[in-house]
Amino acid sequence: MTRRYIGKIVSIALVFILAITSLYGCTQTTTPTPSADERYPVFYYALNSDATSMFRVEYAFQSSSTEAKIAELVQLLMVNDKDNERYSVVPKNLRIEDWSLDADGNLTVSFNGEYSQMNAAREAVLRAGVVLTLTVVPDVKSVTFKVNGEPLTQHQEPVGPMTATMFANRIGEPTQVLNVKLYFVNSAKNGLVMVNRMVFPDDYEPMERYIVEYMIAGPTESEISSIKKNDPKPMAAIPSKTRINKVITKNTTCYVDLSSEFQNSDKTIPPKFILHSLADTLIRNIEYIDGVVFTVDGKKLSTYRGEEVPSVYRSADMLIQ
Amino acid sequence: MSFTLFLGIAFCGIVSCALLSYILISYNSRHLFDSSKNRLADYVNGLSYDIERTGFPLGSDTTVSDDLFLLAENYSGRVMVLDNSLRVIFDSYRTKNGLTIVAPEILEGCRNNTHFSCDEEKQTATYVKLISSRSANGENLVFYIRYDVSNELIRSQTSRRYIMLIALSLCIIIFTLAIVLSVAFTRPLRRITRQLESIGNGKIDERLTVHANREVSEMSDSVNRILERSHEMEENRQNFVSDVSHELKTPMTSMKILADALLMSGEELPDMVREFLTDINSEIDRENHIISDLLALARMDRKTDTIHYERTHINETLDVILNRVAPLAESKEVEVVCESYRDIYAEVDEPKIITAITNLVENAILYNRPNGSVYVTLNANMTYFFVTIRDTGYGIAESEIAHIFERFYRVDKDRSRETGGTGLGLAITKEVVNAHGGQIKVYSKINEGTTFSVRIPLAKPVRNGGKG
Repeated sequence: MTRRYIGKIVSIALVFILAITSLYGCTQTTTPTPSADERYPVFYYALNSDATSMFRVEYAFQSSSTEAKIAELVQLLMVNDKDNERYSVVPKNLRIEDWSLDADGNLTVSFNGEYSQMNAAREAVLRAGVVLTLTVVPDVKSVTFKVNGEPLTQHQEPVGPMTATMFANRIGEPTQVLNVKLYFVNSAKNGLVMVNRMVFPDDYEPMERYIVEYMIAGPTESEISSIKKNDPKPMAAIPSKTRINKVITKNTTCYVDLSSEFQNSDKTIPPKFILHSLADTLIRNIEYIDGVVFTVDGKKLSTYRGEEVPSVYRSADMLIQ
Repeated sequence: MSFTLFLGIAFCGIVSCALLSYILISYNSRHLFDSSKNRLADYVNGLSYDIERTGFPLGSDTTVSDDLFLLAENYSGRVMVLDNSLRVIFDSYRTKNGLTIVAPEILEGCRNNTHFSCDEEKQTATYVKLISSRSANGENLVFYIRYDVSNELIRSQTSRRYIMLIALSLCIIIFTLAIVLSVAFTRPLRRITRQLESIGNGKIDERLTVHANREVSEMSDSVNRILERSHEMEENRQNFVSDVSHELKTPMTSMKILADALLMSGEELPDMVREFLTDINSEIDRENHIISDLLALARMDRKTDTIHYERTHINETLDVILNRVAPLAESKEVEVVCESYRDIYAEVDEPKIITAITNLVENAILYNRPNGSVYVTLNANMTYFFVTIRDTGYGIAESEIAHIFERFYRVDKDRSRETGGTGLGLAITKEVVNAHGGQIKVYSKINEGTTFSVRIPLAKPVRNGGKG
């Protein structure tokens, strides 16, 4: 009886260990044993076997000088690790022959003549992989390609220095931190007050929609408390239960379609402030918008709480304090 | 049997239900986006004509970009067009213009000409298609759209729910059907088993009357034919025994008279002759006894001797029996204890019942130990009265219990001869009990004793159904 139980426990433990080890094998990251003093995780880029996905692989620098770090990454870019399904972004036969970093932080990478054998899509992957990997080094601001000693050209024009912001590895992922200026109604209800906010939006929705979301949510506690004591504070003017049906931009006009809750706003706030706060925020933050049209549940808004509404809102500087 | 059948039917039904719903659901989800995919493919086809007409880059042509904005609006999504080096030349969100995008969906679309994926969490689908250049030296473009598929997903979920609901109700129906079918299939078999048990317990005149379906009916008929045949054989045997007994009875009677006459003649017989004559006389008595028993059995077998039911006070009957066996008990130094729980009246053939129970009590005394006991109890419920006879004797081996009611079967050959039994007593008892529609059961433990339990209906049994 006891022996059978021990056998069962041992086999369960074995299965558990097997599961853990096999799961461990699935992880894409490797952590080489650090030897140098300066260690922080960075990434280099690699491809899957059929070059349809480029992904990041975690890595820790072994050395501390900028040149040595670049050398490490150039080395890694050429490695094909078949066991872990990580293939080099540099195609077979193509070689990085030389590289040099100038004082402005522009890294010039020289390739051999094989470069011209790639098709345009494969070349895009190479450029993205090399630029995104090498600009991980803090001193490298941009990367310029040379082929057979000549600067790389496309459509007879030089390509020039490439930066990481020119490439996107995923659609939808947040790419950069943005500073938006949000114009909320002030607490005195006689004008608008601007609040600066750093945002890191993902790319699944157009920016104008995110801005409408921020405006419905209202200012944050810290934004309210950061205003000087005697100055009017920002406040949320749009009812928080308002839902966004649609936010689209045609030509230069942004159409904002909200749910009917939008009309149940605070009666003590003059309607023009509420509408201008939203319209101005959109117009001043998004360069391609110069007018805003409001609709409620698909119907054009001709009056708002009894006050006539212009067909298209334009920016109104005099309201902003 | 019925449970196995139930499990079998339920298992097959549920497995096929699960398989069917799996096929339906996977077919449903595989073709869920077909219509939107086809429409987009047509659109891209039209777009390639527009691009051929207006040239490259298309950003300069407002009609094409207006079209793309409209498409994005109609699909509540995002449309992008990339050149062949994967640089964005049109983005309906206007955030990725000029960027080089090497996202997996784009790379896959370039490689396989088309890509489709669905993100159920975000309720969006992504469709990527390579726009092949229509001119020889033109460049390919990549069309990308990520659009809202919440309606399709809701539809798919609804149909999935319907399929599951139908599968579930089918399962319940199959479950119920499995129960009904398994009961329906096994009920006739159970009845057959019961009837066969009853026949095996001695009611050899009964026949199978189960005709639930063709197969069971055929089986019943076959079994009935076998029973009929064995019944005929049994009758022949009984006739033979009865005839032989009759034929033996007359010469035996003459021999008895002659032996008695010789012994009573008063003439001086040599000692040896007298002794031998006495032995012959007692052997003739024994033989006569056997023949009488045989005849009694034969009469009962042939139903020539029918049961004469009469209302009888069973307690009195039991007293008669106990008085009759008292001298035997005394001579064997066995104590007989009787316990009656109530006054019992029953419709029985009293002389036959006396014979049957006397046989049991005599056996209990004869096969007991010296200073042993016999306990007789009498009890009744609404339909039966019960007589149990328990002894403190040597007990009967389990292997022999099945045979003790057979004619001339003796458990302990030596002791039986000593006690002078005929080997027919228990056979007669069983016949009598069966003839009354009763039952007799034996429990025995070696060296502890044997209990005979007799159950007889209080009222004359009404026979209905069955052949004969």
